[in-house]
This record gives sequence, C-alpha cells and structure tokens, in this order.
Amino acid sequence: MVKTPKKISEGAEADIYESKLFGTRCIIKQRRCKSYIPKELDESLRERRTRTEARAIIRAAHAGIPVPRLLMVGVDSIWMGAIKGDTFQGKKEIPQNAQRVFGELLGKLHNADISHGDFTKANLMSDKTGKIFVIDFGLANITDSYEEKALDLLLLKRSLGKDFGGAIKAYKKTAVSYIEVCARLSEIELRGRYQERTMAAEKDEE
Amino acid sequence: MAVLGIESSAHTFGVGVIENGKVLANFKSMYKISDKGLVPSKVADFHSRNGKRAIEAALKKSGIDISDIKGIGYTKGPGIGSCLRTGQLAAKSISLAYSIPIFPVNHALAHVEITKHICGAKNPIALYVSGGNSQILALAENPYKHYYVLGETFDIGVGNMIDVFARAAKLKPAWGSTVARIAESGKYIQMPYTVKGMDFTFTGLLTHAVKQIGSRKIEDISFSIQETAFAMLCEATERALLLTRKKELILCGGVAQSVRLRSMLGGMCSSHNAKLHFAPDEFNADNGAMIAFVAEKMMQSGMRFSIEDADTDQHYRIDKVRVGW
Ligand SMILES: Nc1ncnc2c1ncn2[C@@H]1O[C@H](COP(=O)(O)OP(=O)(O)OP(=O)(O)O)[C@@H](O)[C@H]1O
Repeated sequence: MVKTPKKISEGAEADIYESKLFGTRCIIKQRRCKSYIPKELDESLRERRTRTEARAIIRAAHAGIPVPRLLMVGVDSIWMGAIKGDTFQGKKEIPQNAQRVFGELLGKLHNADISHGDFTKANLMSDKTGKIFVIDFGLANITDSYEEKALDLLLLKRSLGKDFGGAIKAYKKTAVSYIEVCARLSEIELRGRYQERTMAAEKDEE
Repeated sequence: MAVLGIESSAHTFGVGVIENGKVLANFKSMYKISDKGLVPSKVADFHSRNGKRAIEAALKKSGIDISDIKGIGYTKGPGIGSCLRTGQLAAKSISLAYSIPIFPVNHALAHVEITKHICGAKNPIALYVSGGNSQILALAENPYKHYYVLGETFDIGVGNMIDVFARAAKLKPAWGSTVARIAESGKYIQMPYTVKGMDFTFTGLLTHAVKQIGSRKIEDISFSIQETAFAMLCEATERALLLTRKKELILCGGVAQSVRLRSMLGGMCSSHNAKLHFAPDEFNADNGAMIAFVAEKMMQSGMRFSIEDADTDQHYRIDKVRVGW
C-alpha cells in the first residue's frame, strides 16, 4: 500500500516527503521535533498546527479554493495530494494574470474567514496547466479578524513588491470586507514605520 | 587613517577608534537605569556631561592623538532624539574643529557590519535583536546594495517586551539578565505564540505574561515568556534561512548577549548545517567601535557629507541605507 517515503524538501517547520498512497503520488508533511525549544511548546505547536492546517485545507476546499487534497491526518503529520509543479518563490517577475489570481485567492480565503498566516510566493504553486494552488496552511487561523487578514495582505505585498498591483486590485474585487482590511493594513504599516526605540522609556519627570 | 565613532542612541555614550578595521579603543560610559526606566532628558544630560571625558578616554586608550583622526562618525538613528543629538553635537564640533569629514551612521547597520567583520562571516543573513528592534536582514544588490528586511516585529522589540514585563513584575534592572537568571528555575506554561511567516508580534505574549503575575510563580512566567519569545525568533529566522538558502546566520544587538537565545539559534542552525556567528558582548551592547567601523567604510568608499546633512533621525530604518562597500 505504502512506498517508503523520500524526503524532497525542508520547510521551517516540517520535512516534506513524497510517497504513494493507493497508487497515487502523495506528499507527507511531517512536522519536525525541535530539541532546542521546550518540549511542551514544541509538542503543542506541532499538534495544534497540524490540526489547524487540516481544518483550514478542508474549509478552503469547500470554498472552492485550489488546495492540496487532504488524504490523512496524524498527530503531527499530514498526507495530501501532490501538486505537480513549482512554487513562485524563484520567479523574478509575476505575470499579470498570476497577480490577479493571487489577489482573488486571498480574497476568497478571507471570505471564508481563513487567514493564511504566510501568504507569500513561496506558498503559491502552479501546476502544469497553470492552475494556481495555495499550500502550507501551517500558520493559518479560522478567524474574521481584520487585523489577521491585513497581515496576510502585508506579507503578500512584501513578497511581491512591484508585482503587488494586480493582486490588490483583484483582492478588492473579491474580498467582501476589503475596505476594513485595507484600512487596517495602512494602520499596521504606519505602526511599523514609526516604531520608536524607546527602551521602556518613561515620560520626562520634570 | 584612524576614525573615531560616537554612539549615543540610548543610555550608552560609547566612543570607539578604528584603524583599517582594527579596533583600537571601545570606551563606554553608561547611564544607570533606575527602576523607573529611562528618562530621555536625564540621559541626554548625562551624555553631555560625560561625553568629553569619554572621547578623551577612548583616544588615550587608542594611543592616537585627536589631530591624527581622519574622520568622525556618529549615530544618526534610530534612537531617542535627545540622546542622539548629544553624540551628533560632539561629532559636529570635532568635525569643524579639526576639519575632518563627518559620517552619519545607521545604528542597526553598525551592529550587523561589525559582527560580520569580527566573525568573518561571508554571506549571512542577520538577526538583529535589541530593545526596540527585532529584524531579520539580508543584503540585496538591487536597485543598489542595501540590507532589506526579510521579517520583523509588527509591534515592539523583544528587548522592550522583556523590560516591560520585568518592570511590571517589579524586578531589578538590568532586566534582561534578571529575567534570564530567574527563568533558570522555571517551568514552561503555555503562552500566546504569534509568527506570521518571517514576521512576529510580541504584545499578545507580553499582555498574557503580565496578567499571570501574582497567580503564577514568577520563575515560571519568566521562563515561559523568554522561551516563547526566543522560539518565535528562532522559527522566523529558520524560515528566512531556508528561503534564502544561506548557510550563515549572524546574531547581533543587545539581546544577542542572551546565552539562551544563542543556544536555541545554534540548535536551529546546526539542524540545517548552517553556522551561527556572534561577536563578543562588548559589540552586542551599544558601542562606539561599531560606529567608527562603519564610518571608516563610508570614508574609504568615498562617501562625503556636508555638516548640514549631518542630522539625526529617530526612525532611521536600515533598509534606507545605501551600502557603498
Ligand atoms: N501538496 C504539495 N504538492 C507538492 N509539493 C508540495 C506540497 N506541499 C508542499 N510542497 C513542497 O514542500 C515545500 C514545503 O512545504 P510547506 O511550505 O508546507 O512546509 P513548511 O515547513 O510549512 O514550510 P515553511 O514553514 O518554511 O513555510 C513547499 O515549498 C513545496 O515545494
């Protein structure tokens, strides 16, 4: 039934293996044990993230968003369908139509109250037909928080740079609460820029 | 070709002397923080009173006469406005009195560059962690050579977070080392953990930890806030390391003095066959040598600034700086 898995990639949290399940290619995402952080924290992170990731994948699939097919969930591992293709990480330029799809996908995720938590080029994959998938829901949250949604937009903006234009345009057309989310984004950006180095400074006493 | 550097972005007035990348002196005069924290006007007062003596002490240590100094650097920012201006003023007067070029230096860049230099790192990413800053940085060549921010705190710096917690718990300064010491006998309790890709936020963690004061053992809260914050930094940095495919990490800034943070990052790096570098503590704490070091680089690469351009900027971001060498 199962072929011996072969390690194909290493993420910040997980090792990615390729295997076969019932004759079809599949990906196993196995969250790594990190011996340098407290055991309690390590275990709770791995278990919690595996659960939310599985939940978010199902929720996204229900909302019609292209995501890997969920096959099996363990305590700290997920088995899913393999997408034959590459992420956009290495791409210097993102074509207009892909920018638009990125924005639409994020809008749809947000409409389904999923914040992705790491919505960047590295977590968008396109297959041979050019269909674009969202992967890695490890940092996702099921939430209607504008703040969380704005952070997704901020991460995408950082990741795309000048190619963000097409994405934000499509996001605004798709996301129901884009006005609130975009307002929150401007707020966050201001916060970052004017962040002061105060060292727990008190007000002047005199 | 010796260059003098003055650092005064916060409670340290540091003066360093560098000659061809070699540290000849690294003198510090430090304002002692009371339980109340740092009162900007008082620190600025302290700096103006002690500045001259610190400059003399550094020169004496270096064995170089002030008339043989070929350039002067000072911290332009980021930092506390009134403190920055004391160093700027001293640098301007020296520049005018001895007709030597003046160099406004970015504080964060100085931490990164001196660490890279001292450790001999070739092609690293950097984790810069201090009171008000927590950033993951890498060099980019386009449109010009500069450090870009791969990830950073969305709210407060990790150092500030620990300081605010320690003050709320009525612990004694220096807060970072006090919390670290108390944490040694603590056990882990669950805390909010917020990482978004290579970015992170600390206020949720801080608020939660402060709420536990009184109902949980202070050792346990100290341990948990520190472990959680450092684990977050570790994860964001790990993601950056993998994304950039680099094999070197330099750790710098005040919080780089934490033995625990070093050991966590060391563990993370070795799991990816990457190497962790950090400098001796005198360079992690705010210091003048790093400012002199960057000033010398700026001078050697032909950059020049008029006295009018020698300003200060409390929010001077590292990604705005052109690295001309
Ligand atoms: N369903 C899939 N089909 C094909 N390849 C995949 C699939 N899922 C993941 N991968 C590959 O594995 C890599 C890492 O996966 P993923 O991002 O989920 O791991 P991670 O540890 O959460 O990563 P990080 O935390 O660093 O973002 C991806 O960049 C992609 O190349």
